[in-house]
Amino acid sequence: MANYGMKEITATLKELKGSFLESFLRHPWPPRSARERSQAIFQNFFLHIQSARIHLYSLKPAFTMGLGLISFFLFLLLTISGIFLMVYYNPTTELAYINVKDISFVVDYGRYIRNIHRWGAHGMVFAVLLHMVRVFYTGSYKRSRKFNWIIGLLLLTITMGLSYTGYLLPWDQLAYWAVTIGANIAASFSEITNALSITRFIDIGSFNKQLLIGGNTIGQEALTRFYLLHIIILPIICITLIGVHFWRIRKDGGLSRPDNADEIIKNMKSIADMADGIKGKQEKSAAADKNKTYGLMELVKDRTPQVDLDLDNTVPMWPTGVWAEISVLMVTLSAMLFLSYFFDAPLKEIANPSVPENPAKAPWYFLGLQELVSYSAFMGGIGIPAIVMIGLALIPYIDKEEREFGVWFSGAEGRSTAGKSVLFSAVSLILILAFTVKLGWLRNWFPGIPQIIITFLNPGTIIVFLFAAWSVYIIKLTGSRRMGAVALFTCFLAGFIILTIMGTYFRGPNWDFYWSPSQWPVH
Amino acid sequence: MNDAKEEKQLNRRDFLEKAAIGAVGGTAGLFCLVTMKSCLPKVLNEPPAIFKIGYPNDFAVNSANYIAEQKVFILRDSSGFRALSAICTHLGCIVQNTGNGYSCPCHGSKFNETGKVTAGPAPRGLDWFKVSMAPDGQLVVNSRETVDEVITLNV
Repeated sequence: MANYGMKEITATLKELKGSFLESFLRHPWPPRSARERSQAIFQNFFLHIQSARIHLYSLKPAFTMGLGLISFFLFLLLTISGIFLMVYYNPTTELAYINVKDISFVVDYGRYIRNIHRWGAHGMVFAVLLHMVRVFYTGSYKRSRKFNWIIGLLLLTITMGLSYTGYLLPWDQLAYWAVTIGANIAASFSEITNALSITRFIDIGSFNKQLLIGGNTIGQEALTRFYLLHIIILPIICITLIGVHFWRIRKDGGLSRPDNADEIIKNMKSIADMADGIKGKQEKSAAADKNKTYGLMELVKDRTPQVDLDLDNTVPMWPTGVWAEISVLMVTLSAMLFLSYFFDAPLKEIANPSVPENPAKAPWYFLGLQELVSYSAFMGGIGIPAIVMIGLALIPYIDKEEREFGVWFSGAEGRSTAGKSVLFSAVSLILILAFTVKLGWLRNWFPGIPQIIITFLNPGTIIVFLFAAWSVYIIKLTGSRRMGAVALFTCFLAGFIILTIMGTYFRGPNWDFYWSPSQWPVH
Repeated sequence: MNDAKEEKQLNRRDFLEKAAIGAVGGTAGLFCLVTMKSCLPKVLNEPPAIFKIGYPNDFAVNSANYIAEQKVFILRDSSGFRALSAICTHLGCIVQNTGNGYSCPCHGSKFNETGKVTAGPAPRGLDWFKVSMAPDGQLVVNSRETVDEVITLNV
């Protein structure tokens, strides 16, 4: 009897590999048939947010350029590297700076991990912005995707918020003063309430500031609050919104594609080759599976018994789509590892509340805003960003035209509109900047001018007005609201880039204009 | 007429529904309010707003001294003492004394000797604080109380 039992157990143990794998995966491995390949997606907790099949058009790299995925992978990378940093970091004014120094110079791989976190953060802002640009120009905010565009805008704001709160944590000079400026932007409602002499009754500015930094100046309270926002509150909001964002893409039928995507696919040699490749491989693997029968498929009318390549031009997500995603992950990771190996994250001297950096510059993605706040704190820091965000949020609800969905620039007309808008935006903005640098603004000519006039009439508000007027003109000219949206978005995008370049390269000490940093006065 | 009046009357089902929505909404609203209120600091762990800066003899006549901890310039001329805030009214950077005025390194606001804005984005001039004398003979600056620039403490 004992012999019999041993035999049984040995046999069972021999099967263990197969039975464990199947219990772990919930589907046969390797997946061979179309059904098993679908199971590989929908029986997998991590993959099941994706559909089981993907349209060939969505695999076209030039359509999405993988930007949404890159943003998501960078978020994961930042979460992981952030947890590593938290092992040694303490959010106190006494220890923060020393801990960051330790991480950079003492901890094994610490410098590398901090670099990854820094460049990953910059990369995520960059990828999220580019992703928004892609979604806008391909018209992918239309139809059922209107609200997902707004969730995207919220995610952009959260990404910026994560960067901003992370900026204070090293507690160096740059951090301290950039965050002082940021906190005072939150307080700049006082510019309006002071002008109206109602600050005594509703002090929105101080309320915002005290809520954000827990005091009147940046100190321990601010560090604690920013740490909390950075490591728990904003990441949780971000993860939730990412989930909703992805879920809605799934419900909207996957990535957007033009209505004639099937015809386009037929005429594209590279895609056709790829499809043939996938089909050939799958036929081979299906043929190897002796239990596979095709009896039923042959009965279906108007369909040739193709394996895994239906007339609707989709292929199974597993393995093709999943491998496409993994390759985006690998490219993202390599880029980050490369950057982090060759470039160190900056760290200035320890925060000194009595002497500001000169110039005190925010990270690059806030330098456009910093240029705007150098005209008016409230308009540049709150008014204009709010107008731009509301304008962007309204785009899908105003531009409801059913034209060229999922096509870059909605075709030739959009391309030329975008080109003209870049030109208009660049010329008008550079002229206004040159004018302001050369001749100054209202205060230089009329020293006694009330602040409220400057708040509403400054280079920033004028440029926003010009952009809006240009967009209305384009709508009149083309009779298309989509073209108006393209004009407006292009103007803001080009404006953002020009202001960022201005703030990065042409502003020096005292925020004066310099042709290059080499001309900055030595002090 | 009677029918219209009856329709206007709230029946029990509607009443309970409205009450339930009100209860849930009220709970959520109160939660937000309480959270916000509790996050507003009651005590500020910061340097005091009213502070002593030393004896009058510590400052030479016609001098401008910067007190780093309190971010304030102490000006003494023949007529007495004045205290000028060094915090830029634009976005809170520290202004520097340029000899004939003050300039802010962050966004280029410029102020003249009396603290008035002459250029840049600052919405108003630098604050002048009230200076008084404590019983022990030390000068006291009250950064809660702003005064006109011509008001000086005669010693």
